[in-house]
Amino acid sequence: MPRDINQNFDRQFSKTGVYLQRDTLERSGRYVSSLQNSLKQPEGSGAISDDVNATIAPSVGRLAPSIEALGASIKQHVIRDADVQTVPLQVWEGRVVSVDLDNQTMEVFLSSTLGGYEAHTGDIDLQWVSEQDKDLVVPGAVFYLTLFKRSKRGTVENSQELRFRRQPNWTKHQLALISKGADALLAKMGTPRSL
Amino acid sequence: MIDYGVGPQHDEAELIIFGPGFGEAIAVHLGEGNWLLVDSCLDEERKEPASSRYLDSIGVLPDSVKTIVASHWHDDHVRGISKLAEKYSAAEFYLPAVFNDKEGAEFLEAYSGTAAPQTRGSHELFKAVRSRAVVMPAQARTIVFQENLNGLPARVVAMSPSPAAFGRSLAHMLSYIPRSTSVPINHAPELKPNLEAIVLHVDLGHESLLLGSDLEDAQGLGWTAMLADRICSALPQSSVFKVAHHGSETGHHDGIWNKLLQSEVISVLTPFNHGKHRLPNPGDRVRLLNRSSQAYISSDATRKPAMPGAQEKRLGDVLKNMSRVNSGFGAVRLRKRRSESSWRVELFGAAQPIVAQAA
Repeated sequence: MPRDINQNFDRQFSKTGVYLQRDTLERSGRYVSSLQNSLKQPEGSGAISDDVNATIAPSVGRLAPSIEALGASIKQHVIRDADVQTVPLQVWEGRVVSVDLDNQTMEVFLSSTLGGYEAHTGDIDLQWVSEQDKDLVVPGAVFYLTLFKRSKRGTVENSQELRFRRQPNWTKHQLALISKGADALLAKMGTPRSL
Repeated sequence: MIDYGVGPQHDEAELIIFGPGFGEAIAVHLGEGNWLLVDSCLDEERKEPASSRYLDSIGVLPDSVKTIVASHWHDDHVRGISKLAEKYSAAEFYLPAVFNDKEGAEFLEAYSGTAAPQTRGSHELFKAVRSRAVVMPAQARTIVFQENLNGLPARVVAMSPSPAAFGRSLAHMLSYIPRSTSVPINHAPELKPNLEAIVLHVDLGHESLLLGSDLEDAQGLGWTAMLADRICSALPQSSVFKVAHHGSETGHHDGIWNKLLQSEVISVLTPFNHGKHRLPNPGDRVRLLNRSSQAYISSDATRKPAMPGAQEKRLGDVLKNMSRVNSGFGAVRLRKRRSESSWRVELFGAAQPIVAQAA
């Protein structure tokens, strides 16, 4: 049975920073049917996620192409999925130290989670941040930077993904814990001497 | 592994400061086998608290540590401090008095571990507090240690934060305490400038030390407020200064040098390498050299990226102005017996005398 990956399609787009609502796609006319057709794959024919991520982010996100161009790009790469091998070379967990809106950069602290490198710091252009993550770029925010090597029919190229950790809202349970925990902490406080 | 040799004599004062490039820890021998620990960082080799590794290496037993102070909750001052709190269970544990307030405690709780851990610094502090039956709040004029040691009074007093700075810190924390389920879990940035750090004055009877933590000066708070405090500003002048805030201009105040320190002072500090913020900068170095008779830094080696060239180039496609965080682990140790007239300075690992640098 063919596997309809429309649902996966929405999710994968959101991961890449080129988030498209399903209804946006459905309004786009003739490309919907061609995209849907191209994205029907036999069960177990291989994941499309790495390939799609590597292909359309961040360049497509920056250029904001038409949905037609996106469709063509996805169709092309999904069809060639079996030829592509994507290998992560470096994975970093990053933390935003400060944001410089004038220069459109963020100062970051990177801890290596793949590659075993020492912690490094530096600046990353905000153009690498996807639109849907822009609201998360504040001091203290956590993100993940993955650098890939992508091989396709003997050709090797680089790609990267930068994703911010999005937190849910506080829950009632958490709010209750905060108050209760604070009371417990205060109960431990001693009385120091002073001059 | 660094060989620190043997421990100090019973009548020998000692200050040792550790710093790998991002992080700071201090150990002080108060005399007669009594130790004070301030803040914590991890050594490069085993990722263990540098001060406990040091004390183990020179044969100091855990019960000899009398006081631990977490001068503030920032990441570069508390890494591993929960392990110190656990290991030295007989020591009194001091933290900023801002947490001895419902809102301050809620801030620590919210961003620490029980509810939704977000900030590594506060999480370390939270773990330390959780492991203790009693913790002690400290602010200006709090006595964190006082004993008569073989005929000489030894006393350690907190000189900050001032009540006004305390209030400002609390207001900052209050703004990040969640009150509703309609708001997302946010991040809790550090208060800048740092007016909440605990500065310590160590009076050993025959010598005094000033441990400046990360206290800065702004809006009449920080150092200005401390110098205006009639009791704190009247404490004996110090011959050793752990320079505040990694030697930055924002941690400088003329009154520190004119009122709190002796004219022939030895300055020691740790670096801070974090993105564009690299302290001390060339101007800071000149200022410190002009004000001090001697000046030393715990780590001042290369900040060049530490990875194979191809991988560095690859990361450089995304990360600009790249530098490694740790510039090599090192320690500066000062010792002085009661009978001696001057401090003996020893440098370990990447520690160096401070030298002027081109801007």
